[in-house]
Amino acid sequence: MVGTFGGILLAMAFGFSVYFLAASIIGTGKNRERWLQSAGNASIAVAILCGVSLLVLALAFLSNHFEINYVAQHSSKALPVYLKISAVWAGQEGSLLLWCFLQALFTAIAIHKTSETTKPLIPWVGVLLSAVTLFFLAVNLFYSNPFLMASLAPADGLGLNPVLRHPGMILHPPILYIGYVALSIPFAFALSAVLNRKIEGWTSAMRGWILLGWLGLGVGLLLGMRWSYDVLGWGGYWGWDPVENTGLIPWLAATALLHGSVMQDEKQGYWVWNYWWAVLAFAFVILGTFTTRSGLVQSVHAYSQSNLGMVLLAAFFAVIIGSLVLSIIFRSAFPKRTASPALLSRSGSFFFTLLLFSTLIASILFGSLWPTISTTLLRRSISLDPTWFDKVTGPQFTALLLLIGICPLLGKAVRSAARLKRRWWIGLVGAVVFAAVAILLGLSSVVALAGLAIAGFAISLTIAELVQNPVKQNPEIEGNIKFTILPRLIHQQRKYGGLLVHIGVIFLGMGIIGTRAFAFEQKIIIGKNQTATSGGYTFLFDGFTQENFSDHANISASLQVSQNGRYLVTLQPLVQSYSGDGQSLTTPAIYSTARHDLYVITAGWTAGGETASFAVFINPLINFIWAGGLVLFAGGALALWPKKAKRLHHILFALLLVISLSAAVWLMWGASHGRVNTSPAMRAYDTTSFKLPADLGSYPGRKI
Amino acid sequence: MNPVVIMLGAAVLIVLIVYVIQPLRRKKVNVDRLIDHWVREASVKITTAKTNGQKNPLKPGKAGQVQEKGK
Repeated sequence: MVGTFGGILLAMAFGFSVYFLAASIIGTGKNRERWLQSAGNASIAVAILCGVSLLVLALAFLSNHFEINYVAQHSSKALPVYLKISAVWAGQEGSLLLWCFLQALFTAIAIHKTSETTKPLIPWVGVLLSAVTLFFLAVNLFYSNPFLMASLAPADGLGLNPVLRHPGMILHPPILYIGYVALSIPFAFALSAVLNRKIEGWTSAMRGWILLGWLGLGVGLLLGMRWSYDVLGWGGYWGWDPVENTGLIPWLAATALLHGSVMQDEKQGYWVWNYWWAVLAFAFVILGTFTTRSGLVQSVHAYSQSNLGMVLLAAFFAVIIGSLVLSIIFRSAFPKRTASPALLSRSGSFFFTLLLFSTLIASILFGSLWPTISTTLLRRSISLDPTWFDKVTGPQFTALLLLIGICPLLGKAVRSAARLKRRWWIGLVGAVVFAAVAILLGLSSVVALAGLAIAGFAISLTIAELVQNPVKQNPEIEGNIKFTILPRLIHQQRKYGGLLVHIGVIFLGMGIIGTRAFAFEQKIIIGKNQTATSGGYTFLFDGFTQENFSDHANISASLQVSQNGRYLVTLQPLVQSYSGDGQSLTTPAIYSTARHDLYVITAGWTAGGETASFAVFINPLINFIWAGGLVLFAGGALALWPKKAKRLHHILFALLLVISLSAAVWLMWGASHGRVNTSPAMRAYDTTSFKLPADLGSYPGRKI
Repeated sequence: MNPVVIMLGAAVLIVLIVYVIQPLRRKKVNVDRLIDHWVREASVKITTAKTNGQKNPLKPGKAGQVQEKGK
């Protein structure tokens, strides 16, 4: 009954969505206000119906309605409640329903929350967004319906895929989808601006939506990286997997759009750039969805047995070709080109930034699609390994770091040279200090040291800009604002949010350089109660313990870790062996310090656990990646801070921010990650009461 | 299926349909004001016709002539 009810709600949402599109077309075509109002009401009805439909699906999971196919395939009675919630979007059908709900909700908000600038654009925005909503609802209802009933209801479900049993999985898909869906709004407004020949103000009005899309995608990607690091047990966090890449590409496009929109708001041109960034950001979202749901790629992210490939590919080409045709027909809507920007000016640095984003996106797209292209053209699949991506994108990302340092120094062309002269030494000191510290820590690769020096250059100049008194830079604003810290932050939230984001990106860059250039990996084989040394640490293997659960067994090894004769910690890397499908999942134990992470996984065992092999990784500077992500998140949140909202909104927003940041900090550094800090003498092991499953296969080796 | 669920679903559907099509409805007609308007119009017609010496005031004259004058 629950399934039927949910299905009916979804069908009703589809029906209202058809009406929404028809009413929008009539209202826009005949300029009838009443039809447009009716279309607006229909958008709210669609959002309500999709929301209730999603709630019904969640209820079906919580109350074990295994007569629904989707519930039976992704849940089981033994699954904890928090995992049952994340199981709602663990498969294709549920995740598409979540997408439909977010699409309908954001569409309704975008149509109803208008300003003087956006009001004339709303009719066409309604047409475009109703078409997008209808498309996803049609796909969900006819191709991938989560409410289809099983002919015979099983007594218990198959359970959730073991790799998805991580707290981060509750938030990773919804946050990523918020990012995906939010990018459809600037797309619709960009097209509507061209159709209405009002190209000037749309970027300024869309800033909140672009930021939301950018932030959602960024945080979603970061959560995915942490999940990969915590759960997949391969020592890394980013493997240049095609699916990871298709999540990164729209984020890069959204970042480019954010930068381009700053220039457009300052009347510096970039109308065509911004139009295409808005179109491409949304088109790449569809392309990413196509990659995960076409069955073309083998990935932990890919949905098997999907039938949506051709539908999504058609949608991708419709968006690209439609936007191209529109930009040609309405080319007179774009103002004439202004003069080329001076090299040493703010506009010039933005031009180079956008150029770098273009080449980065092109490189990553080429690398991701090359296996498919080579199969078509050369009749054999040639995939490019992560080293290729590192070599091609590394210099481009480093150039971006350099621009991050230089950009804040540049203003109008006349003043830029003087400011550069005044401040260049700050960057130089930062570069020298960073390189010196890296050498003292024993890092030796010249290329990586150069990268860290550039990071030092960029971060010192960014911090100098952050602490600079804005009154000194713009004397005309003196007396208008009392520049205590908080009002200053809120008044110039865009600038300070942006600078914080830049600091976060530099941290990320440092972490990437550290983990890519100086990572250490070794496989060790130890007998029970014997020691082995690796990466400057000594490991004493105490043996295995086993805990049995209803659907799986946890087999944890115990390794006492010491350094220079001093006991540090006991690590317990875990192997989860699932009885249902015989799947095994290796979960690492991580000992985290500011300098590096010691990351150990159980690679195998022989002779009933008397001898075991472990893969030991040392990931230098990896915590800069997670810390950089948090700073990036805080900067984005500051830029999104409601400027004119009432105090209650401020409090709620701040509360949400503090809770999210605390949860993220706990997830990254607070959770035990297989560490036990009690003294070895206090622990007693039961090594006799279990029988290990068959010996594990050998460790396949690191992907990077 | 449970009749309660059917009724609940139907009620939700009706509410949403009314909410969605509500802007399309023409402005509410006030019958009293409409009758008043007709009576006033008829009285103006009769007065005008009598002034013009027409025998049957309510019989339409030349198209538009009476109404034009009435206005």
